[in-house]
Amino acid sequence: MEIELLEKALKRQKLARKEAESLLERKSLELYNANLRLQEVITNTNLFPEENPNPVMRCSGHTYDLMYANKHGKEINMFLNSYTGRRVKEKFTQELSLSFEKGIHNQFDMAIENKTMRFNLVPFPLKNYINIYASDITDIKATEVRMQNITATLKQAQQLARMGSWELDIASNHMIWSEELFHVLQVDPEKFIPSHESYINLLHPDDKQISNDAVNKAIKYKKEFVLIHRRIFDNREEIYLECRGQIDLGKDGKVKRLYGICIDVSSKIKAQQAKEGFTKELEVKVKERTEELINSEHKLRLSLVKEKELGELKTSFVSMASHQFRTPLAVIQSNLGLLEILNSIDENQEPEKYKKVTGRIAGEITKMTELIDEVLILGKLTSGNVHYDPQDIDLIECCKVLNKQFNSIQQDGRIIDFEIEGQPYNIKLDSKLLTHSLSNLFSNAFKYSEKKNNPKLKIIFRPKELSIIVKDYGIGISHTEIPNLFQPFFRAKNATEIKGTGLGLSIAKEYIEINKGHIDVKSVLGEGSCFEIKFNR
Amino acid sequence: MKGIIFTEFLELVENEFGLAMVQQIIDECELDTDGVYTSVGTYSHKDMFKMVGKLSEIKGVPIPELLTVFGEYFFNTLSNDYPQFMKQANLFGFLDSIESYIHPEVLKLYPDAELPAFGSEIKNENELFLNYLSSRKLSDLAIGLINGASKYFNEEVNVFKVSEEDGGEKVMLKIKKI
Repeated sequence: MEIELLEKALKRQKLARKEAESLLERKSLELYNANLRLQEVITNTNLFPEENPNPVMRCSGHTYDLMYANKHGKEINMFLNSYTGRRVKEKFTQELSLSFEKGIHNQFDMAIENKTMRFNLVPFPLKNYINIYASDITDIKATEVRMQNITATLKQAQQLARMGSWELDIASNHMIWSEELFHVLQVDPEKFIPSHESYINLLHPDDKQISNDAVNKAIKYKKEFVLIHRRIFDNREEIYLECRGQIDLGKDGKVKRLYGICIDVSSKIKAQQAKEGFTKELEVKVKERTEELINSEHKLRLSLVKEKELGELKTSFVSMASHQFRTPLAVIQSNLGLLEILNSIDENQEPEKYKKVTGRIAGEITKMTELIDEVLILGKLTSGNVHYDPQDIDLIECCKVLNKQFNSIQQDGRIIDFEIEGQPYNIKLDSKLLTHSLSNLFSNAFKYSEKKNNPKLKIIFRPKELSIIVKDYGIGISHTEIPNLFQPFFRAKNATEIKGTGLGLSIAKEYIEINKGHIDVKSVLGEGSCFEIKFNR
Repeated sequence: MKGIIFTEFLELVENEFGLAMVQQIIDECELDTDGVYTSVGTYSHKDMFKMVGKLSEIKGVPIPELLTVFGEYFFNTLSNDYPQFMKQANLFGFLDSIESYIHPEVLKLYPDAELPAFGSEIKNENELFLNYLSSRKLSDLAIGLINGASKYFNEEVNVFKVSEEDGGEKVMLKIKKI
């Protein structure tokens, strides 16, 4: 009985042990599976964290159905399975299938509701799924569009301004040009490699040094620069460029980057040059016009003076002429009256008496004729109608002839002492005009030195000029009167008693000047006068 | 109901009344398991009631009394097997930790365990109220366990049922130090 009970109890114990063992096995398996699940959950928690603001999803490699996703991933899945999302889902599935079949990473952008999403697909063919990492790039896209617009606007602005921008990294010497800079400099963007050196090589030889210096100074003194230089082409044509550079300092305080712009300012510079040219031309013209104006004014003044002189001349001529003409006429008239008286009182008149009277009449007529001749000459001179015919003449011979004439008519036996100095040569002069001038000087020399020494004539031949000097030892001229000596009708105070018209010297001076000569006088009152005529050879 | 209650009950019967009594109970109770229990298993609480009822019937001892005796015995086993739950300094501290610490730990090991609720309220240093709540209506077992704990902590107490509702599903116990 006792054994039976024990056996039953033992049996129960065995069964209980088996049950406990099976329970243990079951629990172990559960534990193992729970551990697997836990690991998966941990992996998924890492892969698909709910806090991740970006959608993360895992889809089956066969059905493309969603396996796991975080909150945002589930939202996308919901949209794809909605009515509005079905078209998008088609494309989405295509991309998944492409990525999974080829086993390659794939990236594509897609509009999901109002957003632009970028999907990165990472296939795991062995595990038979695809991980999908998405991000909202709406803002980036919008920024991209804005950037594109800004770039396009900048490009347009640069094109309009014929301007390009550049930047130079100092450490690497790497240079970046904007597209427009290639256009401005007219180089092929495909072939030309931008660098500071290649840029300098494009410049006019005279501008290379200053451009290099500007960049070096900017780096050394950390200062921006502005300079204008020329881009020269193979055909020698050139454009003007305004180059502006700014500096960018690194953390060490040194210039790490230069950047700036290049503007084609050719039209501006050319306009400026044209303006400067025009201004200069204008200045020259103004100067010319001013000079012309001054000359005209001067001429006008001279004309006015001449006009005045002419007026004075006329006045003086009228008074002088009326006086000079009246005097001989009065003498002639009185002598004619005397002739009438002689005729009335005595029929048999003595011939000497008549001769004396007619002689006086004849003398006065000669005087008047001379006077009229000289007035006529003066008239010709004033109107500029004097005939000028220069010929090669032998001055010595000419003077000798004249001397002979004058010496022969001198009643006191005086002669002109003639002297020659230097090597004689012929000279080109109008002999008529010269002879008239010299005659006047010789006549005066005798006339104003009665009872004095012989007048002197001296010709000095110099290599480039010659002088004809006529000197007398007569009454001389007061120094106050010398300035008026060559004025028409001028008579010196000490000469009023000596006959003369006052026209001789002025005519002589005009004739010498027509002959391109010059007359000068030196005189001492009471000692004599010395006239010197000079002609250039 | 956890298997350990069954195994410990049968062990108590065996210790107190011999193997023949155990066999008699198993034979007469028509149990689902034929009396095969493992401490880590889970079994129907009806089997427990059948066995306790049968023992009461055979021995002429009321069920509540039997349950209280079993509770006291069972606490002894538990305190030996699970010393990690016995770290409290005194009885009230221990009773207070049942709901807040011990039962959550039990649920970690046996997620399907159907545990009674023990809302505790320390009135003063000598008095504690414990609200028992369980559809098993085993407040007498709970009183036995409390008695076991009292002995473990060497603190003598009297345990009274202050109130009893829903046929023993809700029972307020008052534990007062002597």
